[in-house]
Amino acid sequence: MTRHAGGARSGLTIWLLQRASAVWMALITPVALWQVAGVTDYAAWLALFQPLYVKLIMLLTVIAVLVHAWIGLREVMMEYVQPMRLRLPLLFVFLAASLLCVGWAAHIVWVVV
Amino acid sequence: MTMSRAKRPFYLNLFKIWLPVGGFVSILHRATGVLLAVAIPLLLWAWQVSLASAEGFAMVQKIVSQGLGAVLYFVVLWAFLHHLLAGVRHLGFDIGWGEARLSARRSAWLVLVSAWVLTAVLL
Repeated sequence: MTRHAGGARSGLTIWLLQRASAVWMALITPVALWQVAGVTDYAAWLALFQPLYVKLIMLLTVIAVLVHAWIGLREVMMEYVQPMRLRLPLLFVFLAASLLCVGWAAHIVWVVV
Repeated sequence: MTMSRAKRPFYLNLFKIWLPVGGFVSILHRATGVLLAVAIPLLLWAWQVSLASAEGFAMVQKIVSQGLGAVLYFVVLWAFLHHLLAGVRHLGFDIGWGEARLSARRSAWLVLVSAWVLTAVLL
């Protein structure tokens, strides 16, 4: 049996992270839809993201989305991108892009005052 | 044995074989997942612009309500809802709900149809 880099032993953690992020997103979606449905103009949209707890929830949600997406893309690539010299750099690029997105999201909620 | 294997029909005409509905939902779950991952930067951009100013807010509203932007908005909304519903179905399987063939088939149809219904409701 061969062990693949980025595969062996991390499976259970990754499986759990995928489920935990999924549950969080499934729970937050109805709340988000409900809140957004009440927004009619820019002022209301801005006011929605002003409380600190909303900023934190948004940041947590963005992180959940990115973790979930990264694991999903990894799953897809484990089937369609077989060569490791291709798959690993791609996974790294997705990771870097995800980190950039977290920073971006933090900036977005930060500037709302 | 080799004889019977040789005589087996080689049948990969995709117009003649059809996946069970569960397989169809599963492939769509994967495809919508990839699509949604690609949409993340777009959504972050729209979020940022819409919060930055009243003009930006109006601009994003305009983009999603006409032309290519509206099509994209529709596709992403449907993809999100399909992925969400199919995902909840899979979480059900994780804890042993609806694993029997009949109920799994029913829930697959339910996911397929409700994703479209919800998209229509939310659009």
